Amino acid sequence: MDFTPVWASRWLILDSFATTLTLSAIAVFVGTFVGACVTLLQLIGSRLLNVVLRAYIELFRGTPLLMQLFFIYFGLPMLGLDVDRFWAAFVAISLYTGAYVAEVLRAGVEAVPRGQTEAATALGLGFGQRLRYILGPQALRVALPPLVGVYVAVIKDTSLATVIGYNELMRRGMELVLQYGRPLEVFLVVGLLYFLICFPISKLSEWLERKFTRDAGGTEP
Amino acid sequence: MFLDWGSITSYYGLLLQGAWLTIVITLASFTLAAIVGVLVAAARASAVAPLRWLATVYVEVLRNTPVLLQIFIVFYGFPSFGIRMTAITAGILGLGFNVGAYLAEIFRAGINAVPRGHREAATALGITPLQSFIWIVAPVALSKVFPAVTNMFIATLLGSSLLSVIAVPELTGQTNEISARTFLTIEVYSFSTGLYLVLTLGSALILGMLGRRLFPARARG
Amino acid sequence: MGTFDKLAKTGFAMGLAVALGSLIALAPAAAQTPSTLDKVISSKKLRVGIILSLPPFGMRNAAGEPEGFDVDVAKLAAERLGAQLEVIDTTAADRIPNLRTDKVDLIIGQFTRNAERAKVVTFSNPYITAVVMAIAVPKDADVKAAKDLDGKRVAVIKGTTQDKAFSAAVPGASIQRFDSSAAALLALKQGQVDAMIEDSNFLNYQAKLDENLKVVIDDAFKDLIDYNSIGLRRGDPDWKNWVDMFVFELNSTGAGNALYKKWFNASMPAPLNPSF
Repeated sequence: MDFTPVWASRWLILDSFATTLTLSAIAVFVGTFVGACVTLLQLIGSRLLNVVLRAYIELFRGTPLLMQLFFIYFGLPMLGLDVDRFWAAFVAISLYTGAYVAEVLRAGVEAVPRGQTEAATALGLGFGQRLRYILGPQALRVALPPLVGVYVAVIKDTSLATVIGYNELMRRGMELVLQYGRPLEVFLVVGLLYFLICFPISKLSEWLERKFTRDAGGTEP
Repeated sequence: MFLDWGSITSYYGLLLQGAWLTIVITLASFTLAAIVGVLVAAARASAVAPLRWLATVYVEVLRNTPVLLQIFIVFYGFPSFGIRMTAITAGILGLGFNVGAYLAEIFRAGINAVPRGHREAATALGITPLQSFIWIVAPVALSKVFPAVTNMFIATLLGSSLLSVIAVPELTGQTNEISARTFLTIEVYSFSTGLYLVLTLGSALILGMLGRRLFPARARG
Repeated sequence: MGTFDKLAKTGFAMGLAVALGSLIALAPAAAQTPSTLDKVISSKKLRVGIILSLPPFGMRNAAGEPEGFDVDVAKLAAERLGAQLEVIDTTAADRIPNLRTDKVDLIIGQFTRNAERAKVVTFSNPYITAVVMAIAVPKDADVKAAKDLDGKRVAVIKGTTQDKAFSAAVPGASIQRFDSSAAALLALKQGQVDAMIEDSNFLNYQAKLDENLKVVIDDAFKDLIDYNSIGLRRGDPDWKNWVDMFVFELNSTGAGNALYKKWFNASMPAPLNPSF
């Protein structure tokens, strides 16, 4: 093992690591926003709107992110929209994450017994109040652990932006391997950097799950 | 816009071949993952502490680094140790070992969810631990986690697209190649997106039917 | 009949008026579609797609800045236009989509011109030559001609001239199609493929850097010369004219040859003129 070339390129690696962190933050925040909007619209939902939203979720959960990246990067401009590499990665990762977030939130909403909503309506609570006091807190409690799990998955998935030439950590790693021919050393360092962000978040997800299961007094996972 | 649907008809054959390879890779990787998953789950429940630690490290490392990186390490990194294999084998190993880490956790959760009384009753009846695991614990555990296993199967199918980066001509690789050769970008990507949807929605349908068939009474367990 | 005649005449006149009117209305619109040339000059920004995974044509130095033969050519072009150069990293397979989707103004990326590609993009006059089909193999490999690769694993790049030509010449080879020359080269170095097909410029340079590699040129392909050109979007004659003038100056002043000498320490494998 010889880490000299990796050490010599440390600033390049950290620079691309920052890019990966930016892309991850976009995935988490914009993706959550998209997913939450979709879930809210589904709750209000007219039948037609629900069909459209369902199609969006199935489309983005049923095709590989790699395909979505290529399609958005090369496809959207042909439809007259000018997207560069960053925006293509932004749009693809946000929509992809949004679909998974929406699915997790929906499961949370469905875990709240229907009777509660009916009771709240009978008591004269409006949609906003029901969401704020009845549905939201309980749904979020169920959805939060898997939601954090989704975040770990999408942070790792930002590595796929490398295929459209976005200069994130994985692509920089490949470049260094070619330049110095030390694949194992470079891949180990790249892997370690991903691990440093993903591991704590994974643990957070597991902790939340244990906490909420215990608080709920249940034994079922 | 210059969409040309007529011209891609001559590439349907190649794309379907790619889809077939995607199915083969998915089945092979998932079979490997199931074996790895059972072994690692067993190791995590083992009385031998080092075995438990090793299994824990395996699960954490593989679940907290990108699968693309793991595939790169098998294909580009392993030859440094003198371990060489074809791209498709490297891809199946990389994907299979990755999904195995997730399945190990799912299996573990399933086994933990089996009421202790089941096993105690079996022991009281004079059934050996192995027999009791195979005939009593495993089926109940699987029935509890079958939806999660189905999700992992679909994740494997989507993940197989990553093999395109190491020159495996599965559906995504074939799509990129035809797009590069013919410039019919939107046309081929649309067609392949459709194929992926057929594959993922089809798998969900078949596995859902299988689940209801195998675990009729416990399906909602 | 008279009424009908009158009606027909009126109709004809009206039709003529509408046709003329639309011609007048359309003419300025057509003229307003700006040439990329004007756009580059007014915005002082030139976007060039270069394959940065193709040393020494395109690569990144230790500071992460693009450099290489193609980067130098792009810098000269930007200089002549008084524009700032923006290098956009691309791959062989992405060159045409990048042009067609207006992500770049030019592709300077060892672009082989051919009739098939010219249906969708426009090519300038050639700025560099190469032997199309060179074979890189490990030093101890017993490969003297393309046919020796029958049954072997051979790396090519998706969507390249080499892929097409080699697949046709040695149908018995197990062809592995990679996304980039870099990925293919790494596979060769790590022994995951037995050979790699690229043009002579790229492979000679790589063999110079790595003493475990050697380059074989099959006699049958020796005279097959690539006249690589700069790629442009179709339908922009002003821009094409400027790029051709730029390439003419590059070649006639010897600046192109000097750049080749700088990066390869050799002369181009064939003269640029005559280019056939």
